[in-house]
Amino acid sequence: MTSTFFSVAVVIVTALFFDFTNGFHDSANAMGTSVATAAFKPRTAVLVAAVLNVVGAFLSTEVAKTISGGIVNDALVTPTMIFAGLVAAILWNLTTWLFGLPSSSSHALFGGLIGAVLIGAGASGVNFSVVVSKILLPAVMAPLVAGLAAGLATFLVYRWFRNVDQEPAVGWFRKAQTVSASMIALAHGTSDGQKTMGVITLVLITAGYQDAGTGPQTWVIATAGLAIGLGTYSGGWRIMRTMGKGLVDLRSPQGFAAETTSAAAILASAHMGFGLSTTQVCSGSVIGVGAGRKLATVRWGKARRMVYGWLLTLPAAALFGAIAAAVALTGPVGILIVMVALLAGAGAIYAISRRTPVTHVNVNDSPDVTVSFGRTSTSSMQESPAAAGASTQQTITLSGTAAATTPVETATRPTTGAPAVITSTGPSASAATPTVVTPLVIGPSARQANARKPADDTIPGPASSGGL
Amino acid sequence: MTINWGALALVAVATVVAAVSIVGLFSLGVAAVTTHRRSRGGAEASSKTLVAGYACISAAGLIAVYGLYLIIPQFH
Repeated sequence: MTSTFFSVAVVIVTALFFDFTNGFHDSANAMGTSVATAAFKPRTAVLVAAVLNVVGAFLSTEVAKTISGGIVNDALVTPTMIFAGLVAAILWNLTTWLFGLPSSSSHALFGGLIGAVLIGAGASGVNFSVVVSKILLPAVMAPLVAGLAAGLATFLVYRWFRNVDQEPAVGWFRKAQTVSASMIALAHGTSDGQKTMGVITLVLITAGYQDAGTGPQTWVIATAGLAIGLGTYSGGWRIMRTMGKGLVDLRSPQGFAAETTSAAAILASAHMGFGLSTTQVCSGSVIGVGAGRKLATVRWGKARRMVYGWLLTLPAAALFGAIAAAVALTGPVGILIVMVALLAGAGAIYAISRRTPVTHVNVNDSPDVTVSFGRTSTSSMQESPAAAGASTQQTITLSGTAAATTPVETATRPTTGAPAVITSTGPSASAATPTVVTPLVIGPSARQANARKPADDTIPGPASSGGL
Repeated sequence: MTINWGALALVAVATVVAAVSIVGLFSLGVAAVTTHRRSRGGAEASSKTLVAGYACISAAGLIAVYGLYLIIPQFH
């Protein structure tokens, strides 16, 4: 009895942690484009998205009847396997966040569950045909459909109307963006908010704490909504930067076109029975509006790396899930070990992220998300996410402590030594975005850069945040 | 393995049509309204342009309200 209670409690806490990462991973979907075009100030953006996510979580009435939508055989799934799957999904979400890669939180969760079930229940526990029809095919179609629609809309608008990205028209588009971005945030709350509620409710039912066929209890709705809202409010600025600045240099009409397309695709897929991943829809839209205005404005290298990240999500999360399940299924001690590993891994990834922090202050300053592992090597997102993802867990513990103890909240520059970054800072044409003149920070190690006094950066820092 | 190709095609077409029409409608409205401002002091024709522009923008707004209706499950 106590051991059941223990495992249920562990699953609930882990599910809420996953919900939090889900929130900050996906806040860029709704707000990345609006932050980039200055339709919202960065902090206003995440506040609006967080509130709408919580509202959406309370609005949603239809809670998931199954954990995975048939991808794994739910009858064979135990709370411990769900725990292992959640741990894997959290670690993968954090890894992709570190590299600023938009990737689907649902796919990470499914991947983790698949790995855990393969270990815990064997290959018969996984419905591979459902994996193809519900994950792989939509993953291919989502960015294509969204990209095509957004590209066509942008192409036509720029062809038919002149001066759409100049004042005063751009002001209208910026206002419209606040509406379209809010729609995405609300839709996200109604869909992703209830995913975690579904997991917690199913665990409570399996453990006998709740009657079968009953809906989520109020405290479950409240805590799950709060977790995703807090996650969204914390911003996920690294992914925000890639979404808004990294893939395309967006102008307001493009931002509006991207958000409108994403909202349309999300609503269409929710109501016409072919589920598409929000993240992949939104990323596809952004690339589409870039290509629709001018092919050359899309940073195809970054787009390709993002697609590699998507391809890796399922197998990588499955691998993490399998390892976590193998350890956790040995008993309470195993669960404890996995729990400690999760906290250590999360702490380490956070520590690495602090060396080259991306915050609401500097989110728009550069298109690149850099990751620094050691004293001298600063690798940008250009590095293969596969290699980085694999090496993350080993590197961290060696050198993570120093950076972790320095809470650098102020305007620390992204420490890319490459001058190319600086030249590509300004071309956003929306008139309200000031062109930030970034002081050249050539080649200091990340740690030296972090140690610099905020005063070094006062001129560009507040200027950029104040104007946004 | 059952893939619902019909639903997929429907989603794709709906997305393209919705995106192009909403963005097009709104841009048309904005173009009309801002053109009117630029040539301010113009004749009667420009106030018709203004009305048409605001009509387009309002129509786009109504579509957004329909989107809200779709998002909020309590409405259906």
